[in-house]
Parts: sequence; structure tokens; C-alpha cells
Amino acid sequence: MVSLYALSSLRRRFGRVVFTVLGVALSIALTVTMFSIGEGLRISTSSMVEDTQVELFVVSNGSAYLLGKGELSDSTQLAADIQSDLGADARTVCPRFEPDRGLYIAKAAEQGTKPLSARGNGFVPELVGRIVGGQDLEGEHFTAQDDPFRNDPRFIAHNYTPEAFAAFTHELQVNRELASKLDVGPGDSVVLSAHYNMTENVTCVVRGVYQADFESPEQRTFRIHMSELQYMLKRWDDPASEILIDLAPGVSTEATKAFLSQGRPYSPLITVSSGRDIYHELEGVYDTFQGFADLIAIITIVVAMLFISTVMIISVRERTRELGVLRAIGFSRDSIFTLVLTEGFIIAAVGFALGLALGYIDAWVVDVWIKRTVSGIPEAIHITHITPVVVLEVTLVGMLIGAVAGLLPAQWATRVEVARTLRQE
Amino acid sequence: MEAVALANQGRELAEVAGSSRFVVGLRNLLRRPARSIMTGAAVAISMSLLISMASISEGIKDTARLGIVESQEDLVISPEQGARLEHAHAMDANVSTWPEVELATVAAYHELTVETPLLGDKGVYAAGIVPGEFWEMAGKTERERYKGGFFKVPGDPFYGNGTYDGTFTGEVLVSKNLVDKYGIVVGGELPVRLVPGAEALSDRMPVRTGTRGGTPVLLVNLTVAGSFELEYSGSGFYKGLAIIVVHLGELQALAGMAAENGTGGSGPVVTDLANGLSIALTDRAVREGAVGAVEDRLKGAYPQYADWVYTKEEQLEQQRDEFVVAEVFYLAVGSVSMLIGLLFVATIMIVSVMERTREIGMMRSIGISRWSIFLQVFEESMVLVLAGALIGVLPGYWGASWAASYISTSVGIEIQLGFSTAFVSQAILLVLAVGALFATYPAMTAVRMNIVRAMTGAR
Repeated sequence: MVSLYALSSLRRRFGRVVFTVLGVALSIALTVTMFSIGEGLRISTSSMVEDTQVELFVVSNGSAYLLGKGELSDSTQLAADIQSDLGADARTVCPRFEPDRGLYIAKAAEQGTKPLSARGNGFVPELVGRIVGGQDLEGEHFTAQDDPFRNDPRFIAHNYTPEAFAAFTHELQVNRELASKLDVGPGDSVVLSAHYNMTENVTCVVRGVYQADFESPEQRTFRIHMSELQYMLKRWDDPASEILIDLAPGVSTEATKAFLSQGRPYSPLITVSSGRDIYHELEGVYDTFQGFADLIAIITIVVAMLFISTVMIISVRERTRELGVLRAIGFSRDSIFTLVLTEGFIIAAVGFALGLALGYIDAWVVDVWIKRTVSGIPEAIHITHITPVVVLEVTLVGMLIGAVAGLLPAQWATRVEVARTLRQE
Repeated sequence: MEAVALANQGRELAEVAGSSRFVVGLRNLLRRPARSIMTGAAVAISMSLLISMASISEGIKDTARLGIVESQEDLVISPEQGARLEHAHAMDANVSTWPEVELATVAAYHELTVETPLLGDKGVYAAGIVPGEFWEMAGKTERERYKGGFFKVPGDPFYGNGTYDGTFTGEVLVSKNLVDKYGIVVGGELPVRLVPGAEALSDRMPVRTGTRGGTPVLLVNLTVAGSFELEYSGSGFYKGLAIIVVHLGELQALAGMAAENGTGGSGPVVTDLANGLSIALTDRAVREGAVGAVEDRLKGAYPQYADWVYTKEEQLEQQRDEFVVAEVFYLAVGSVSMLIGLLFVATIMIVSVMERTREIGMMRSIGISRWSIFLQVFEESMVLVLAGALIGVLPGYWGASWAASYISTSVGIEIQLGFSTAFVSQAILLVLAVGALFATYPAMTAVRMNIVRAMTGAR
């Protein structure tokens, strides 16, 4: 009964109600978007690191994982040493070589066309274990699970000659961008060279197409056996960009990190970071953004609350006479309180629902648009993410707006004095 | 009671003819001070958010643009996706002979590890430049960062004639945070580790052997010739970012970009790798619009880099694309908040118009035109918008300054705020223009009112 009356009184002030609802909806939508950005970056970064199954990242000493990373030398031996020190504690110790300098690659069937530069990612398939960092889209894994060229006498003797390429496994995987730019898929042949004029080249078969979480969509990369990449770049020091460690269940990441960082013969040569450390490097940036976003949301909410409460107070004050009549015909103070509260609640609720829907659309648009416009954002990063936490926070905000919109004017309305109001007639 | 009120209203209305609409509007607003203050405050808060957001986005854009705009660089080759310039010195020498070219210079980048006195090994980004050419190419702001000393030797003597056996100057400039936090002293020595795999030319540099946990490492002692300011504040995410600058040929040798092992175990073969070539054209060539022609010639002579040739305009455009996100984002946030503020004004004005139904009816009945009533309501709204907008400017500036210092300490990027009189006037004009759209609705509501119904009090 009271809610029906509240509805009809809102309908009588249709124009202002629509504007107020719109104001609330806009502020809720902005709040949803702001909150979802912090959550999106946080969740996708930490899940990107966790999904790799890597607990520890070993890089050269003095390097920060995300800024200024040097290379490790004698990485096969170093990885073997670490594996033997950790024993059953480590399921996988996997060196990975991703040099800054790329190679040139062209489709074999179309020799003479312009080759493309792309960065190689050298690794040993059998050492990868459960470590993932993306997904295979098409095709299959490498057939040679070890790194056979490492045992080639020419590789061991640091004797570079293009004839040695014949001893390669001739397999590689290309990422989605490279596959699309070269127009190749599993089974196609490609030619690889360190030079743009494609001299000293080797023909390889594309085994599969992958998409890596840490790479941005416009990056061109390929995976190849580690020694083959090292040999093509004439690197005799067995370099690796990092060594990834997947620990057995129950093994302490921090204790292992401390064990590797101190007292081992290789300790002075390495810097060990846990997934947590890497995430922590970024956390400051996310915190800043989150702080900003929260502040913007709060300011908008304050404006929305000012808005709705002013409109509601005006509505109550101009209806003093109406409320007096209601009291005179037997409406209790409680009923009047509920009536005004309901009106405020309806405006806040409709604004909240509309704002939440707008916020969902907005968050989606922001994610798609930013990822399309800004280059260099890793595939697995989602800028926005509407989690239950975000919805809960926004619901609390909505309730706060509703309370401010309803309680104060409702309290005011109950104070209407019947006799004085009616005497004014 | 009613008669007294009507008489008062009549007196007020009579005054309308004699006083300006603006004063009446102002008086109307003052009659309801609480709601006017609330509305003005809401507009002011929204305005301050809009101003903060817009000045940050302007600031980010300007800071980034400055380097490109001021630089002498008309064309640049900047290979990506792992590609490198090969035989870069020769390329530089060749392009420098072109009649349209005033100056060409090459730069290379690589990560290096330095030994710092206070905190041991530290990974740094190293840039290799030809100091004299770099200085000529750089803009004013860029040059100002090098107040803390510069190279004594302007050329690149170690490169020799492509033999990498000239004088090794060992000069290095370090970013200021290396001096502040890592104890590096200008005039002192800075040991740099030879990049693994860069041993090909180690016999031509003053290399010494050090150890790391029993493993021998090759080190070269550089001499710190000066320090320079970074555009980063040295805290937050970028706190660990350190940069050193050395002579081009020396960086190439230290980082394995000068030469590689030859085929079949033969001696080192010069590769002369670099990351970028900058070209400044002569004033005449620029005046005559030769940039496009030189660009085509460059692409023809070096087809392997054709995808990576950019003019100054293209560089700025690329940068615009990168910053458009920040810009649109900040502006969108500011605009939505402003929109809420303006909706507030419109709603309050609708309410006021409704409350004054009888008053407006009376004004119409004594012959005041629809247009005058429209203007009066419109002006009342605009007074609210203008007052809020003006009040919001200063808090907006404070907000932006606070935000810039917050970003500087927690992320590490220095932002120069884009805050000027022109900028503030633009923002106010924008708000007034949009506010005018919103003010039209309540004004139209007042105009469309039926006189008879208004006078009889029927809704």
C-alpha cells in the first residue's frame, strides 16, 4: 500500500525523478568501472604469474625481473646444479633463452619475399614439465623432446658453420601474430636466418601455433630448441634469459628462494624472485591506480548523494501539506517514514540497477578499447574485471546512497505537525 | 495570509520591469540558499574533478611530446621486433653525405651490469651515442638534463675505421639515482661487466678479470664523466630504473653488438649493430618539403628497415595514439562527473520552476513574454553552473598537483601539469556550453506552462 503510494508520488514528479535516477546511475556506472579496473589488473596479473606453475624465477645477479634483466651464462649447467641441489623439491628447472636480438623468418614456398624479424624463444621441451605460459592453438609439440644439437661436436667446439644447420631438428612453433603475418600453419616450412638477406639460412617445419600470456598481441615470436637459437646467434656461453623453477607441492617458495640466494656456489651469480616478488613490483603501480580510481568514485558518489538528498528534501518540504493530510486521516509517523524512505529507495534502486548495467557495458568497452589502442599489453591481461567483490562494494555504495536519499528526508517528514500544517489552509 | 503573500509577489513582479533579469535570477537563487549552495557545491566538486583529470592528461601528453617536438630529428629509423640496424656506422656515414641531410647519428641500447660501491651488482640500461652528434640533435629540454657534466670526447674514437681498435675513452654518464643511492661518484670509476658472449673484442678493451662466487667475469673500468636527470622520479615502480650513457662503439663492444665470432672458428667479424638512426635535414630541404623524398630514398637504399622509418609527424602521431587512451580516459571520467553535476542543476531548476508555477503564471498574465521567462530561468541555471565552475577551479588545481605528486612517488613518473589560463578558460567555456544545453530543459518547462492552469494552481 505504502509502496504503491510512493510509486504514484514519484510518477507525479516524473521529470525530476528521471534526472535524479540518471545522476545516480551515472555515478554507479563510474564507480563500477573504477573499481573493476583495479581488480582486473590485479587478478589477471597474479593469475598470469600463478598459471605458469612457476614458483621461482632465476635471473642474472643485479637484475630486477621487470626492469633491466641481464643474461645468465652456462645456463644448462646452472639449471642442472640447481636441480641437483633441490632434488625432489623441484619438479622442473627450466632454462629459457629469449634474446633481444631477433632472427629473420620467411615462408619457404615464397622465397624472395620480404622476410620478417621475430624474436626467438629457445628452450628444451623435456625440461618444460608442467610450466605453461599460454596455450597451444594449433598443431603439436616438438617431436625431439631433448635438445639434440647441444651434443653436436661443432656446437661443443664453438665452431660456427652454416653446414651444421643440417643437424638441427628443423622444428619450431610460431606465435599467432607471426603465423598470421607469414600466413603459415602447422606443417608449413619456413626459412630462418640471422640476416635480412637470408644467407646462412635453415629450413624448419612449423609444428604448431601458440599464444603466450606474457606477450602482447603485436609481438612476433617463435619457439625453437635452445642450442639451435644460441648457435644461430653464435653465442657460445650457453646463455639464458632466466631459469624457471616449478616446486613440488608443499615445498616452501620463500625457503627455497633463501636456499638458492645464499651459500650456493652460484648464489653470487643469480637473483631469485618469487611470483609474489614480481607481482609486488607491479603492485605499487596498481595501488596508485586503485587509489586514484577509488578517489574518483568517492567524489562522484558524494555528488550523487548531494543530488539525491537535495531533491528528496525538496520533495518532502513541498509536500508538507500532503503529509499533514495523510497524518490527519490516520497515517502513523512510522508509515510516513516508510513512505519517504521507500521513495528514496526506489530512486536509488532503479539508479543502481541501471548504473550496474551501464557499468558492465562500460567496463567491457574500456577493456576492449584499451587493449586495442595501447600496444604492448600482454595477451592475458584484462584491464577490467567485475568480480563479486566489485559488485558487493558497489551494492554497499548503492545502499549508502539509498540511505542518504531516504533516511534524512524521511526523518524530516515524520516531524510534520498535523495541526499547524492543516491550519495553514 | 494569502493576500499578503500575493501583494508581496506583486511588488516583486513590479520590480521586475525595472531591474535586470540577472538580479532577479540571483535573488531567486538566494531565496532558496540551501539548495543553491548544495547545487553549486556539486557543480564545483564535479568541475574540480574535470579540471584535475584534464590537466593530468594534458600534462602526460605534453611531457611526452616535448622531446620529439624540440629535437632536430626529421626522420628516424627505429627497428622493432628484435630487428637491429646492421653496419650502422657505415649507414650513418652514407646517409650523412646526402645533400638534404644536415646531420645523422646512430644510437644503440643494451642492458649491462655495473658494480656499484654501495649495493653491489646492478642491472642498468645502457645507451651508446656519438656525443657531439647527439648534442646537436637534442632539443633544449633534453640538453638541460645533462647539467651534471658531459663527455669530453665528442666523437666515437674506439670505432676507428670499422676496426674497433681506436682509443677506448671509457667515459660514462650515469643517471642521478645511481649517484644518490648506489654511491657512484662523478670522476670516479664504474666497473661494467662485459655482456656474456661479447668476448670477441675483449683483447682490444682494457678488460680485467674479476670473480663472482669463484666464477671469473670480465670487467671494464669506466670513468664517470657526469650525471644526468631522468624523467623518472626515482621512486615507485621505476625506482630501480638506472641508465648509463657511453660512447657508441664502446657500448657495442661491451654488449656484443660490435662483432661476432666468424665462420669456421675464424676471428671476429664486425656486425656494428645499433637500434636507431636519427636524421636532421637541412633547413632548406625541410622548407622545400623534401622530407618525403628523403624518406623514400631511405626506404629504397635500406629496404630491410622500410617498415621502421618514421617522420617527425609519424612519431608524434604514434605517440598520440599511445596517449589517446589516457586522454580519453581522464576526460571521460571528468565529463561523467560534470554530467552528474549538470543533471543536478537541471533537476533543481525544474523543481524551482514547478514551485513557482503560480509566480510564472502571474508574470505571463501581466504581459512578460515567454522569451523573458525563458531567459530568466536559463540565466538562473547558468549562474549556478558558472558559480560552481569558478569555485571548482582552485580545488581542481590542488587535486591535480596532489595527483601528480602521488603518481611521482608511487609510480615514479614525473608529470608536468597542463594547467594554464587558456586551459582553465577552455574548461569553463566547455562546462558553460554543456551547462547551457542542460539549462534549456527547465527553461522550456517554464515557457510551456499553461497560464490558466498555472494561475488556478492546477497541475
